[in-house]
Amino acid sequence: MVHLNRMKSWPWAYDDVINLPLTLYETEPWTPARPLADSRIALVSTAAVHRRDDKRFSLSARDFRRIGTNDRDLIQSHHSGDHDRTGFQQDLNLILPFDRLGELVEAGELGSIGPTHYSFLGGSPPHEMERAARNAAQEMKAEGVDTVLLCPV
Amino acid sequence: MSGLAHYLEEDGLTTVTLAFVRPHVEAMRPPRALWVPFELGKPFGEPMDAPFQMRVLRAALDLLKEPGGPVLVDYPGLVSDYDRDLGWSCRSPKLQSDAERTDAAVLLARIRAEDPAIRSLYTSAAAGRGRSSVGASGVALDDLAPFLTGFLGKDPPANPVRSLSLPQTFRFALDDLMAYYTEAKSFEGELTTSTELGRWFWDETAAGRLLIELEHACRSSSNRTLRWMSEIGILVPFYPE
Repeated sequence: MVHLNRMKSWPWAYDDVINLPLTLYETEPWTPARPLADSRIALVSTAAVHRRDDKRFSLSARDFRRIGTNDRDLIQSHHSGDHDRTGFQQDLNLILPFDRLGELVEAGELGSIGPTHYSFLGGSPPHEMERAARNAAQEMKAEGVDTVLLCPV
Repeated sequence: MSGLAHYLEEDGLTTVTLAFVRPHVEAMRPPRALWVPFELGKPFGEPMDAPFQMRVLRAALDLLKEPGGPVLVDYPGLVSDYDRDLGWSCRSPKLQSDAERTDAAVLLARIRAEDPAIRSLYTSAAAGRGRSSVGASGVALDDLAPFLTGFLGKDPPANPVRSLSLPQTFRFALDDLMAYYTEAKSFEGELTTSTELGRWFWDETAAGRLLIELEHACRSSSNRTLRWMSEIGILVPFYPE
């Protein structure tokens, strides 16, 4: 699929994306950040990528798959045809920037990278993923993670 | 994505969200969000461009310095050709009638004829990269095209993968066949951009033609889920004329 601005010439598809039913929130949660050099970061992706031997995502999946920082042989079981896959095929950093984060750690700009990262199936209603998200949060905190970078696809 | 950020932040984690759809972020108001004006599927810009990816990553992490939120910031850079870039979408038109269909045996023979060259490139690519995204369907490479061609017939073929439903196996086999081709063709810089790879796959390969024909065949499939998949447009990313 193309950049969203190009989809404006394809109204039904653009509208499908823009007009997706949204979960709205009345609260404004805010957890103060630690200095980046002292932070431990984990990634959360909605690309539905996972290890080769993991259970595939079904259309109704609301759970997550765990990915290790050193996992590279990942496959994707995303049902959407809307996003480009050729970039991720060439360079995993395009959706999970493990190498870029490692470079920041080496430079002393980032404290550390958590050992586990989490992959969800994007496009699912977020309120239906709340339980899984909170479970992932507990796991991350147990591994000393304080900062999360959420990466869409 | 914005909703997940709400839950994680409520539970004591500091979050930064990259976002493609700005109106969604404006409405859902995650704590910290960086809007990225890139092609869907490429949140960090372009493959094999580490400096560009790092600029996006730094722009996201800079939001950790914000004293309060919600905060939404636009990434300032644009990849130069996005205004005319159609991505990997299929410019070939949808089939309008059965009269436009290719005989399944002929199509399969054409795919088999192009397979040795693709296989050689793919083998090198997988070894060179140390990874491959092919494999979600669980269908062996040699069986992908025969399995998918079976859906051009009156009734769908048997499901060769016990852990998936037939529509799931079918859906992921489409991805596997395309990934097999595009991973091969993108290795060592032969074609790299999504536009180049999309144009080549859809316009020049028999495998691309098979996917276009399958989208048409599924519209009248006896399998309700396959008909639905075709109706909602998740089989082939067609782009309009």
